[in-house]
Amino acid sequence: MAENKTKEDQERAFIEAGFTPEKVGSVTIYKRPVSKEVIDASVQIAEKRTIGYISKDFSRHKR
Amino acid sequence: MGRKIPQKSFGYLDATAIAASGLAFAFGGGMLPFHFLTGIGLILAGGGMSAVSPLRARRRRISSERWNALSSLVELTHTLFDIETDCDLRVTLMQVNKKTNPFRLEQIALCTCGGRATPSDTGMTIHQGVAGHCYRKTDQKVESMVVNLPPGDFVEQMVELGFEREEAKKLKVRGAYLCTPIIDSMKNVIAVLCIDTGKSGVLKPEHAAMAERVTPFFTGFLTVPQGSGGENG
Repeated sequence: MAENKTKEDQERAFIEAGFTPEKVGSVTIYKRPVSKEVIDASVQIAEKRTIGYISKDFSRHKR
Repeated sequence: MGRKIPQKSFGYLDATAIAASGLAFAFGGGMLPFHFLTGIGLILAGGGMSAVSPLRARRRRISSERWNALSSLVELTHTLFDIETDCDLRVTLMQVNKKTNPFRLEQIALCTCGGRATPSDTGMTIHQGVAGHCYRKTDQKVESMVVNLPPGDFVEQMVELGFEREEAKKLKVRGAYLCTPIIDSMKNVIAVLCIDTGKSGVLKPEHAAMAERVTPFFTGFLTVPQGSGGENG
């Protein structure tokens, strides 16, 4: 019973965080698209335009 | 006083000198192109030899620095997670090898609770494991994946995730996996950051967000141009 409750709590936490469960046999994979901010940061860094991401990241830490 | 040199003798001497000079110019003129080309050839060969050696050394050095930087980032990610040591947290960076068919995910950096470790030379295809699922895009979306394995036969669960039974038996038993893609400027997945623990139920949604936030820094090192020691996708 306790194990089932833990599993339900876990599933709820993932779904509330925007994950979609996908069953592969007995295994449940929780999937969520990578945030636009992270994708944009990766693209910018790959294009060697790093200043924006780094400064934004620092300003977030300051707050 | 001095010996008299007849005028006629100067004439002979002059003629001999002119003839000798003519022969010297003729010889020099004939030999110059041959020596010039040989010289140029030797200079080019020597230049090539002396240029290749430092270039190869530089490439090795940059490649080693790149590996060190990626390993440090993997180590930093491990520290960020701050999960109890008994969970046996591992952070692995797997790079996509597009030279094989099917493409493979190969370990290039690994950090365990004991610190940096030597990555395994085995990998997995993009059709296997949680990392393989993470590589394959759903509707062109790049997605993070979390799996907390239910109680049961680990080998059987790995077979369900695409491994051959013999391959699955060789895998270290784990309880949870978190994989997040690392993309390049074209939004192609070039590597996968994998976090796994010995215990199930340890990895939570906030861990996925944390892993995602470090991936742009991996992109930085994985996408540097070829001349700077990178693979460039």
